[in-house]
Amino acid sequence: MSVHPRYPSPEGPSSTAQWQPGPGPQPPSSGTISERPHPLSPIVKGWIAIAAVFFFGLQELPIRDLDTIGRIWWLLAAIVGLAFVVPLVLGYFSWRFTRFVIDDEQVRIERNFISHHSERIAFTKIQSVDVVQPLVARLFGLAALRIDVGSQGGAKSIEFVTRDRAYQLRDYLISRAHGARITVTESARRPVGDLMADRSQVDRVIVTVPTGRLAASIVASNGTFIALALTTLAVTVSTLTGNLTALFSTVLVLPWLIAVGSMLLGRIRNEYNFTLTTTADGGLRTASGLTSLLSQTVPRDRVQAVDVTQPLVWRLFGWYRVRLDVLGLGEPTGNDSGAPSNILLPVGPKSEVDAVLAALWPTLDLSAIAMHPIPKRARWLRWFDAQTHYWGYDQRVLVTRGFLLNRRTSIVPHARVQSVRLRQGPLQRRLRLATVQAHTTPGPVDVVCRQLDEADARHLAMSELDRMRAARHRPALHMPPLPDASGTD
Amino acid sequence: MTASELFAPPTENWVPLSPRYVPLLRLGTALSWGILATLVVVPLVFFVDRNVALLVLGGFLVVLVWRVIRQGAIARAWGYAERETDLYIKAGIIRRRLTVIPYGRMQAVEVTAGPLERAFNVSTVKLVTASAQSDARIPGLDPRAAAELRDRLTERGETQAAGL
Repeated sequence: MSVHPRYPSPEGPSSTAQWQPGPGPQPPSSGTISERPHPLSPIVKGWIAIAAVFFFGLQELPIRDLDTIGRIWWLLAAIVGLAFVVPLVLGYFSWRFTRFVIDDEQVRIERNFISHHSERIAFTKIQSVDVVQPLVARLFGLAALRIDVGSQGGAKSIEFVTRDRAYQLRDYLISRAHGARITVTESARRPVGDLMADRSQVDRVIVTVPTGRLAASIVASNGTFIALALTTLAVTVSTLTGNLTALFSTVLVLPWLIAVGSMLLGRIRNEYNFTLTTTADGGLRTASGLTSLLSQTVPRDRVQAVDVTQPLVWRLFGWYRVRLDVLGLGEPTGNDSGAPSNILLPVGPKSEVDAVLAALWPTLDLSAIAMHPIPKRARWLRWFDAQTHYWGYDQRVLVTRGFLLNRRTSIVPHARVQSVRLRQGPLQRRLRLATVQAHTTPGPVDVVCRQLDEADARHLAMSELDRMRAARHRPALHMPPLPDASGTD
Repeated sequence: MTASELFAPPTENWVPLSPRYVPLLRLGTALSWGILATLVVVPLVFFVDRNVALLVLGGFLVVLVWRVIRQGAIARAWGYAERETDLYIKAGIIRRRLTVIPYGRMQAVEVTAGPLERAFNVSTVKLVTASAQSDARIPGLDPRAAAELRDRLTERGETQAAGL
């Protein structure tokens, strides 16, 4: 597949100022949708600009009494004009010239204001579809549709449509991404359940995360404990020695504290009210958010790799976290609200982890996979956690486990491994150890089998290639396959 | 198991890089160590002491000469092998690595040659997969060999392409 960030569409119809139906069937077939985003979109998109100009403009005004207001009324008017009129006029025109077209093959987003853009997204390239509702959009009952195609240029979005329209289009696109032949009207006729929670009657809820547990898990993270320990250390040292210089070292801890604090707040905001459901057509849907709502739907066969992590403190409570790699999501982009998320389960007990994995890969049984420890001599290199490292595989997945402070189990289906690397440093050579890494698409999951015996490492790497090849010709892990799912990938 | 056995390709022998890659590597190493030495030694002359500066310069020169000599072995450590379904690339002496990329996983094959590389008449072949970790490249190839390799890889990539 191509990884061009933009499709300049040399053959596109966008060169003409008037919008025309694309190269599809000239009279649009009954399944074709061609519409503009919601008319309120410019306000939702431009509210930050409006608010900023208004706020800073008023702040700079030298208003002391009512007389001054009388004299500078024209200045006030200018600021109000600037704040409202300019963004709105620009917004209106960009709305007026934006259109999205969904036909039998693809989604096309046309932006013909000032410069002309026409982005085409073939259904077969769709990796995931998200419905994003930033706070302001929520107030207006609007939502943005974000379609990820796994390209470097990021997701394509349709901003904004009404919330139920967004869900309808999302359901339709996901069905098409699965290879189902279905028209938009058929898709829209399917029963809709709870619109607020984005849950139709056919969806099955796998887990919901209670707010209390989420808050507790965030407080009990390794970051908080390290921050606490550092502060306590600094304060203790300064009181014991009676020397205030040590107290100053708390200043050094401050940035760390702030970083940890903002990360924790960001997690509450993004993972609040987290729900994982499986959809009728076999997708996984996560919905969460405090101010902004994000509902992500990923077809199961687009999941590239998964890991289950457990920070040290969580062991007291038996909690785990499940993350996934999906092409195009890439690394988590941090705290932006509404940014794509790589979380499949923010925090949950073992039973929920099993439920999540069963929803993703029903035929996978992790406990049936023989896990091998690494040789005792690896303690020379990993004296603190050599005993925690394990590796193993079966016909369909490669699994590694390890680490002490942040226990991690990484799972990648052989069919999703991109390439394999065997490596050995100087110390490893003396100890006859080697490391094997299975390369996955960008994301939080890394699959590295560390410090294996040389012979095992070589055999694992070479046989992994055979397993990758064999797995690409076998039905995917999320059996039973959909009747027509093979058409996509 | 010796190190060469650990990193041997399953059947064939490794294809080595172009001999013209060695002088390029030597020049690059000499330049980068030379610049580093200048950046460290010149302030020493002005702010500390000339003798100290000479001592440090001597140290840098020893490292530079040793690194330049080593580049021959480093270039020889590179190698690639094409098999039926996968491409094998090995590199490194101290830190050895063997990367295997199935042809079906290659999304693009790029041939690049920077100004220095062009001066020494060599090119780099870079393989792009959906994973950023793959980082698969073969530097220092004869331009014609590089173009032929690219064509072969592209052709096999097309016939064996696997979906993501």
